[in-house]
Amino acid sequence: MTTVWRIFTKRKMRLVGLFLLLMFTGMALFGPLIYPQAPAVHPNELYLPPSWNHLLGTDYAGRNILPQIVLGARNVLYVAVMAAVFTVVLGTLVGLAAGYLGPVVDAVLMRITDMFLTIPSIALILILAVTIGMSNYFVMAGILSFASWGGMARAIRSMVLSVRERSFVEVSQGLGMSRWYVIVKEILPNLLPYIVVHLMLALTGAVYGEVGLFFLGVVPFKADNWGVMLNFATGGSGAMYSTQSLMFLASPILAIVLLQTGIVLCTDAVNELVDPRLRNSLGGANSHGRTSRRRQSPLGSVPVGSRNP
Amino acid sequence: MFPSEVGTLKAVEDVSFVVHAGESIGIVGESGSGKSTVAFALFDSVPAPGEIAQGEIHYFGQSNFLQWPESKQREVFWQKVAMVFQAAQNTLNPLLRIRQQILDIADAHDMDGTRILRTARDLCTTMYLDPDRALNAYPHELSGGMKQRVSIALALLLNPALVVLDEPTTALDVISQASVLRILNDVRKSRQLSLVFITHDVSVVSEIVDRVIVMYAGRIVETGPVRQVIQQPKHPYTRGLLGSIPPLRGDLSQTRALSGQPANLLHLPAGCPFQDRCPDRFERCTVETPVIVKDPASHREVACHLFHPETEERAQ
Amino acid sequence: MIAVKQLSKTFTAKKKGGSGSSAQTVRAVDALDLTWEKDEFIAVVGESGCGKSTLGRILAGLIPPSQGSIELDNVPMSQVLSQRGRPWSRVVQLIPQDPYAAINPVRKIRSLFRDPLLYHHRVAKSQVDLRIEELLAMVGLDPKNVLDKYPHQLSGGQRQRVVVARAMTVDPGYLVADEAVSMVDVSLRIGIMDHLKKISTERQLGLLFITHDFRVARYIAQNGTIAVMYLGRVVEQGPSEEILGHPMHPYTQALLSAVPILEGREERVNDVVPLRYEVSAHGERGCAFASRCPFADQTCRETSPPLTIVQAPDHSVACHYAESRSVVIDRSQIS
Repeated sequence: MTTVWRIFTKRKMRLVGLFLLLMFTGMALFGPLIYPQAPAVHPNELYLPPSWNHLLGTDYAGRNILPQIVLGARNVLYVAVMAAVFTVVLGTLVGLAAGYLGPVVDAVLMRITDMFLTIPSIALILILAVTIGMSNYFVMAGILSFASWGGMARAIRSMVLSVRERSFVEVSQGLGMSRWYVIVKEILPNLLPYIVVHLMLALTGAVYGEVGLFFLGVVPFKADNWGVMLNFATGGSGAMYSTQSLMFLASPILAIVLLQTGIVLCTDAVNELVDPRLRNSLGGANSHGRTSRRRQSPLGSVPVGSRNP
Repeated sequence: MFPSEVGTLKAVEDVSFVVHAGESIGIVGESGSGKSTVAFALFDSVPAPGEIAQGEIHYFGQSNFLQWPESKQREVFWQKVAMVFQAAQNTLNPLLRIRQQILDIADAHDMDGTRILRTARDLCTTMYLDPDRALNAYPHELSGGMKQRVSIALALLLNPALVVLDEPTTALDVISQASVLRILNDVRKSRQLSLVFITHDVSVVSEIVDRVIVMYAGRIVETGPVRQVIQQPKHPYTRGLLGSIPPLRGDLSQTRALSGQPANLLHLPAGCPFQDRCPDRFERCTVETPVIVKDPASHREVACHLFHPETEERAQ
Repeated sequence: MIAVKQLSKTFTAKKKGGSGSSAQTVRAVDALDLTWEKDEFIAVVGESGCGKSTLGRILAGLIPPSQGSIELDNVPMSQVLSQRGRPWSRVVQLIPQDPYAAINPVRKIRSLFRDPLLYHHRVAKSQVDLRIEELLAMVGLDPKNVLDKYPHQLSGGQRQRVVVARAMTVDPGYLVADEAVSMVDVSLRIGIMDHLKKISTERQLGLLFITHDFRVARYIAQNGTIAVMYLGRVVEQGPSEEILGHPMHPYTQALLSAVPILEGREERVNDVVPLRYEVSAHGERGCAFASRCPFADQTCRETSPPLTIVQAPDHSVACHYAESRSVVIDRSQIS
């Protein structure tokens, strides 16, 4: 725990990111407790500017915007986290199998991956969304990850191909360790930093994807969703033509931007968390490690230290 | 052509030495001894966050190099003083043919391209390289030894008076290493070249340098003519270093490991930095850092409390 | 005893040229015979590209040979598990060259040892930590300083020791060390070699040490054998002092001439310089070294010399014109 804290406090921006993420997570977890009921319609409070009673103003129906944002967080985060986890798990499994289990498995899996990669993902998602009908979050997350695991699988595969050539993999095989052991304990930990970073990026992708689907209106409306708010703001409220519904348009956009910023700012902290090589300050003295010496010189960057006799 | 004093340098921790015209010196030490830092300091390019806190470098009897403007420093680099690195493959641009890299150097120094290429061809021949093949090759088409020879040729291109080589043969095979050493020896004799040869392996420099500087924990612990130092090392560290090289013939029983780990520069003990690994340590070593003492008779300098030039003389 | 008979390994490299792709076959190991006694120390010397690392990896069971056989006490490699109840990984262990690449950078040292020990049921779970400490102490490391560190927190020398200790987790009968000290400072090499020799002597292990450095070879194989390899074949083999004192093959002589000598302690009395500095592949016929050999003639280019005993008891050379040429002598021998 102290390690986590030390890594996050190393840079100010990481703390900002952490704060943003915690804020949205808090909204998702405790939002319904703060606002047990959906904001009520007030026909004579349409399009109010921000005030103490309505921190973010009101919408076309006179509803308070802030509770809508807070309540929307749960659904956005829930689907996004699930979609990102699906993407990363599927991508990692396919990538590991293709990279390690030999040329036949590799060829089969990579052709399938390529197929998914070549289909335009928005089109795929739209078609799936319309035909399957996204009645619950689980299906929605599945559909969102359906189109995005391919890139991950390809990246993981190529990393496995490079890691498996490293000497320590051979050493482990030489010690008679099982194939499963080599994959899980030797190769996977080396991919972890990438996987985690990709998880964060997949998270941002899923947020856009999900909000986008609601915005386009191809999924059944749920009132408490940022995408739906955007849809109403641009469509029914005419935010494109008049300034009166500015707050209704800007609030979900702001929420999305802040959430994405939070994720991105935390990414490098999380990367450092899972990669011990980046955690220099935690270790003992490494004053004469040969690998760590890289020097600038008038001739450009020249690593010193014998690596390859 | 130039004054006898080529350079005086003070870096790392009170390191000073002079390289005379046509003289070659070897700087020997384990990794972490500061020998490479000295090399970078020679070009005022100690990598950040390091910096040269104190000291002066004088090339060819001129003013302190470290205070020159960068443009003037650049002029000296390549033209008067050149550097060869251990990993040749990293100093050659992988995307350009050798010929193009030579022309780029010519361009940077306002030299005539065709003339430089002619010089390069001659140098290739000296390096036992086929000029047509070497000049038209991309770096990856050459073997390790060939690449290292090409980078030495590049260093010699503008006819410098001093070449600094940082572990130039460590990454090479035995026979390639021998070829590089043989060529360096020839070139240095025929061109009156001064070399500063930095290595962790004393045997590599023994045939090619006149004088050797042994460094430990960023300090010079012993200097002297190379044969004398090898035959009769005075500092316990030098003795240990030499004793850890197995002889090719004769008695092997005297070969033993230098005990302990190289000094940790972050936690140097009070007194002599070598005390933890020294078989001859006594009380004084733990309190007083030995200063370097010169024996005028043998031109040897040793930083050890056990070294007394007068008694040495009598003993001989 | 491990017996290697007519061992060959060919690699096929796909060469993509402008006019389609063609396959090129490289013979890394070429009809090689070798016997390795249970407690024998052998140093295999050669340049990079001579096939010595391939030989090491085949011996360790990491890659299969293309032809030929390897037998442990007359049991073929493939039947050792069924007949002797031992997987090959517990017969021969390889200590790889690069201590930086040979340890998984993202795992702590403790877990590197724990897993193979438990996997092979070498010790009871409660004894694991004790055993790990024993292994680390065996290679001269202080377990307290190492166990809970990541590899990047160790120096090159320490890492190489960790690699050696890890190979011992499975109690092998033979050790193959592939250039195990070439990436370590000269001053620290002897320490690692001493530990390797001590471990091998105490446990009566066979030690095959692959190196390009005759100094290292001599130190390892003090009372053992030196085998000189060139392009997949052993060109000279014999007791170490015999090889260093009376090298007979021009290639051995060239390799020895290339070793930088300690001016003042040693003297080079003969300097055999190869015609080319680079290893060049050879055709089907003739001696592999002929294209670089300063003594080669028509015979050498046409017929390949077999490895034959030239000096009793077991100094053998593969050369038509084998002739002893002393290369380096100890200065104390003259004065």
